[in-house]
Amino acid sequence: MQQRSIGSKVFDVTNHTLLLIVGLVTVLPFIYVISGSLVSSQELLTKKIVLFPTRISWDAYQYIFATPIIYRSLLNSMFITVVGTVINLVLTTLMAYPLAKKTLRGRSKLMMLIVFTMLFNGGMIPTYLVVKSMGLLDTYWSLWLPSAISAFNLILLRNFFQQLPESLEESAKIDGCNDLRILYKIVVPLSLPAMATFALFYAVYYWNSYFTAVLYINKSSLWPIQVWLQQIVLLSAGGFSDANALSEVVVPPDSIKYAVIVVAAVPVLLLYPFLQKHFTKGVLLGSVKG
Amino acid sequence: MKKRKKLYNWRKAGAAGIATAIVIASLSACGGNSDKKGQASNSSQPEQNVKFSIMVPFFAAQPPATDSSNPAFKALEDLTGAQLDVTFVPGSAYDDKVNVTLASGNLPQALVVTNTKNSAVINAIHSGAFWEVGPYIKDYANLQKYWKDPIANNISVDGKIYGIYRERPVARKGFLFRQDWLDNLGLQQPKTVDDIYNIAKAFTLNDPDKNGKDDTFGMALSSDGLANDTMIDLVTALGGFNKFGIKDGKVTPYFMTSEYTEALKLLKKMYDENLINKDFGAIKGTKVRDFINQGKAGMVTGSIDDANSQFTSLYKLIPDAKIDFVAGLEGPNGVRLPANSGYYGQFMFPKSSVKTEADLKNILSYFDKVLNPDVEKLFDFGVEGVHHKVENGNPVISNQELYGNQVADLGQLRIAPSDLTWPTENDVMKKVKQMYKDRAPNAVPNITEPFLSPTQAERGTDLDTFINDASIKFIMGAIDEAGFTKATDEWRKQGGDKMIDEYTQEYNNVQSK
Amino acid sequence: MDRIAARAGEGRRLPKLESKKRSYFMQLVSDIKREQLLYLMLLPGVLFFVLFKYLPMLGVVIAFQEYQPFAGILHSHWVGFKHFHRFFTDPAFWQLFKNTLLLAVYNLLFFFPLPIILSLLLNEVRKQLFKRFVQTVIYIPHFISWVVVAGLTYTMLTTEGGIVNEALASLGADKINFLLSTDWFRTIITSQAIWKETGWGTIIFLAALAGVDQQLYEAARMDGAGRWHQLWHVTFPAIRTTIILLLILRLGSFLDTGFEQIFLMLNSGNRDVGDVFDTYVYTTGLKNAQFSYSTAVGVFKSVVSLILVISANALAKKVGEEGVY
Repeated sequence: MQQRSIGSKVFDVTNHTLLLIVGLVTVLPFIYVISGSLVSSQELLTKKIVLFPTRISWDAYQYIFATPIIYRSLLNSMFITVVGTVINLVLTTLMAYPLAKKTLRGRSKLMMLIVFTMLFNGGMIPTYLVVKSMGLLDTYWSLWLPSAISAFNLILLRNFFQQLPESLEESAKIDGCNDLRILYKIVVPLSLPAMATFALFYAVYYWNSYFTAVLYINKSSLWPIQVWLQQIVLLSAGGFSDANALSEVVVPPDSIKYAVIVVAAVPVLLLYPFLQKHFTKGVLLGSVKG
Repeated sequence: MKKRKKLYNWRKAGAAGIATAIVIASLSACGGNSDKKGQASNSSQPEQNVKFSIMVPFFAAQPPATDSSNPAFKALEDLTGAQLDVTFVPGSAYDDKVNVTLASGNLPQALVVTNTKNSAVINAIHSGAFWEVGPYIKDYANLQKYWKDPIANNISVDGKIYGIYRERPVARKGFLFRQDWLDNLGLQQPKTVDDIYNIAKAFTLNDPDKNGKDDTFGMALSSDGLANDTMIDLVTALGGFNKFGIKDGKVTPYFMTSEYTEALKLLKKMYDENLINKDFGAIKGTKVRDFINQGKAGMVTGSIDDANSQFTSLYKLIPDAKIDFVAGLEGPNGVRLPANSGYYGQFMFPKSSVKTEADLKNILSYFDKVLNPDVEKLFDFGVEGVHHKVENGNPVISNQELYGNQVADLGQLRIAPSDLTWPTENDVMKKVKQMYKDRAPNAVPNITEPFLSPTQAERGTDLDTFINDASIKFIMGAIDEAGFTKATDEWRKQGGDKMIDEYTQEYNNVQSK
Repeated sequence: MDRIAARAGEGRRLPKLESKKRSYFMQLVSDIKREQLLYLMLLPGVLFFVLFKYLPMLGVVIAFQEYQPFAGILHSHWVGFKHFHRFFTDPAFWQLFKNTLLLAVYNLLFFFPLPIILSLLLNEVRKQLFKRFVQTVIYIPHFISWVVVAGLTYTMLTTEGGIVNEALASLGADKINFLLSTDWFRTIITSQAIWKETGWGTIIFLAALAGVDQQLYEAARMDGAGRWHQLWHVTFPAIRTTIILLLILRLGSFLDTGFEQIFLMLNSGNRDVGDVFDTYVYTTGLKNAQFSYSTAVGVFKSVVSLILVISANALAKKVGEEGVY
């Protein structure tokens, strides 16, 4: 008994130290990015690594938020992300539930066909033509519908559903619940960690998507914020050398590149704690000392 | 009726060949001119409201608004009498957008094609997707004045013109350097290739920033800048080719000439003597300018107008710093510099959306009008009282931020670069514009610019990489001259020879005409 | 009469397979009738896959064409296996194949297990605050774009005042030209991937772990099981199916090494080991709008993935796992 406890303590200490190192390794570059967005461009140029700026300069953020349209596209992004995530979650759950039933005839064939779509894809032009022929261009449906279900997430969610004890559903069925009700009342509430995970995956997908918006939507007033952010990052990375001649675009300094990353990441970082609640729920129950 | 007759004439002229075209052009130029003049004077009242859709890339953080909220856009519509339905596409996604647009068949009435050698576009041209605009140019006074045959030749496909090029300066490449360092060391600006070496050496060894520390070096180099700037700068100065030239009646790439080897050896010497940053092979894009902006390096190759816009960080860091430039160095063939292609993309007009010749002419009249001085001024300075104010009769931009948001990228809708000089412009830009003009005769063109080579289209990028990699390795000492020759042999074997044949054939076709 | 006899004969001569098939469909129809709602729930998803995945998938036929966007699929020339022939006979093919394969194997060996280990370690942490802190922090790198990761890598590894080389120099060691070296390329690429995506990769496992019935731990403790024992017999089995699923799905994109990351790190020094299918497709295909050729390369990659997925799935089923389908 005693010995195990010592071994356990050693394990705990090593584990904590290890995780602390991992945490530092991941957070230090991010602090560098944040500091980089807050220093003057001269300081960033001369010093190799700035972890704590000597003088805080908000120039980079001012540059990004100088234009009113940025707020609009921020709202666009939120709208695209929220609605898109809801659509995707509903559709994915609806499909994953029957597929999780081992008795469903044709299940394995359907799964095979779904996996197949992960391996082969038609590419940019055929998808564009389908989106166009359905009249989705210049609407947000062109962003939502073609990516409404991620085969990857569907397969994983089905896996989560399969691991739920079948007895629960059976008893509900005996009580006269139909499948939709079982899904809504029993399966989903029991799979909250999984639902939170896929909500996060989908939300991040929509939040980061930029290319489809540029391809399918011509009206710049409908674009999500990532279009600007991407443009700024590429600009500072020197993506367009030849173009500078006419419009005399001045390449923004690195500090703006870093500010862009902060702006792009923060909304999702804010989302995480709300979802994290669900990840740790099960463990919380177990950690009650006994 | 009269108009139609003239159109018919023009079509015939286009078919009848260039010689007749010139004759007819000189005959009917007066008629065309007087017609235009009438229109130009009435341009304030839009008699024929041209309405068309247009797709262009943009390169700022965001495109300018194209509705009444943007006074500059409104002024543009008023001045040109055109109603524009503009689709701005981020520069990074532009080529993809052009390709899907081509595939969808849902084309705007005018669009910029940035990569004129794009095989999808060439194919569309061959399928008759675009109007041939060559024969119409001379109908428009401004366009005719704007038209330069060497540039038009570069965008031509099978000798025909399918678009209106967006002109860029031809003489634009050069060496940019720290003038204050030269002054500190009592040195003259570089005039020859040898000067470049000597200055780089002095910048490295003689403490040009007078801080008593050995913390400077001569020339900042990058892996992509090597092929795009530094090598052609040096090779043309030494009397060699800009990428391709004619040797023994055959199109020959510059890396198969002695001038290239000479330049390569010079750079190797500079590398060995630490006059160049050792990590240049790992550096791409604008990062190379960081060395200048940090006050570490004294020289870099690039576009001479970079002197005006790319070194603001340096001036903040070292207020006394001064950047100057030379375009072209003296060599056995006199002062020489590599020419740029002279354009950045062209406006093209799909037949599927521009249905009739009359429609085309209406749209072309827009491009004629954007060359009017008052429209040019609008592109340069925006609207008076909003974007600029007038001081001593000269415009001065008063709201830089608003100008950036509303005016700067409207420039994508114009075709000529700013050519108007104003006393209010800064000295650097004045000199840059002067150099554009003065050095144009000294610019060595890449003779393959107007030619199409299927091999180039298929594997060009790959083959270029071979040579660039070998050059970098040679400079760094990883391979010797024999190794470099082996790389050129490989280049020839894997498609280079075929490319040379194709280019030579095209060249001979043109010569025999 | 004859006809009826013939029909009866036909019926008798029906191959077994066909009758099986027919009965399968009969059963499917009756199943659908019985479980209407269940199949109705599948419908939107099936529609989605048909419309947005299978319909565009027809576009892969351009691999056998000289596809031109303006002409469209219907009017482009058919060229058979020309593009495949060009690809397989390209002198660079085997080099590319080797480079891609090695990077993929590196990724599978060194990156794939890390999120699993990390989530198991996280699961052992009892201090909730600490756990949450680490959890929140480790997934931040996922949001830092490759352009910036490449920039940071340059800042650390360059010979011109990079931190690592400065440190080496101060220790009296020789500077190492990491960025231009063939020896370090795979290490750098894999390390970047580990740094950027490990934390993000833990999320799915943590979700699986959150679903573990806490009574199982209780029971194990009652039986006197130590922490290793609990880890091995309770925690690990809970995520085993997820691991296997992810492994199979990873094989489905085995030859996708990620274009942007590699392209940013590629240079003349390391191209011999760094050029992979994805970068090759970009430089030879997409840059010049050679859609057919790019598609042909893509089809090759997909076929390889298909074989890998089918084998892996069969293997998983053989050892008693469920597999993907």
